[in-house]
Amino acid sequence: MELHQDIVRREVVLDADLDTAWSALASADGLQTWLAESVDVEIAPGAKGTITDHDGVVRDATVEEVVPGRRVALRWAASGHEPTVVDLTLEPLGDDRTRLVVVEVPAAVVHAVSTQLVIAGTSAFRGPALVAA
Amino acid sequence: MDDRAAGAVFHALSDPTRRQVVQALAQRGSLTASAIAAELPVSRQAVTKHLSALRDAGLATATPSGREVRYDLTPAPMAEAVAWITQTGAAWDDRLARLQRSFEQRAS
Repeated sequence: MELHQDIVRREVVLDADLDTAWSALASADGLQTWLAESVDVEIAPGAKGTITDHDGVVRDATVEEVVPGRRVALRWAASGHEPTVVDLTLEPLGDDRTRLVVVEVPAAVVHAVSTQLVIAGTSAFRGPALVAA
Repeated sequence: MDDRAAGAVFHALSDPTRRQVVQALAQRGSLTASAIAAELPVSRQAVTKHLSALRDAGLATATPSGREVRYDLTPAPMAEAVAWITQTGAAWDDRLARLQRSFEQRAS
């Protein structure tokens, strides 16, 4: 079994330019069109709220990082479950197309991996997915 | 869905040396810490520490055998971790399909 930092990783190419794609990530209303049934958290660093999935699962969510036009990282956990970190990163491809990369990793792993990198002297670590320069 | 167990498994396997210990146990089974240390470029003390982390995650069991302790893998938590990956991945496939559809609708 191969284990990577990116334990669950998906990427899709959207028929949208970067600004349009970002509008689907930048606000609760935008996220609510696809991410979940109900997104009740402000998309701002440190904001806390809940996200209710289409199957009825309610997760407590904390927004960890927002890089406008690029990236939203949040930590969520359903009641009684360990938190996971969700990282949504956009990359413009030109021709009105944008790639979205999603990574979801148990928070315990993010901690373990970042600790290893700190020990190894790597300061570039920014989360489960590195932001493209 | 028990992602608590899955988290513990991923944490235990996030260390490359620990993964080598798992590999040795998967291939040869029922090994002592000394036998594993002989195969890997790490000390017996380090192997013992890794084995203890694997036991904490429910990935390995220890059985006294004379003056030694033999270690074996317990595959069930690994299967749970794989189930978590599958379920979480399927949820993202659904979400991303909705997102792609929303842009197709806008374009047409």
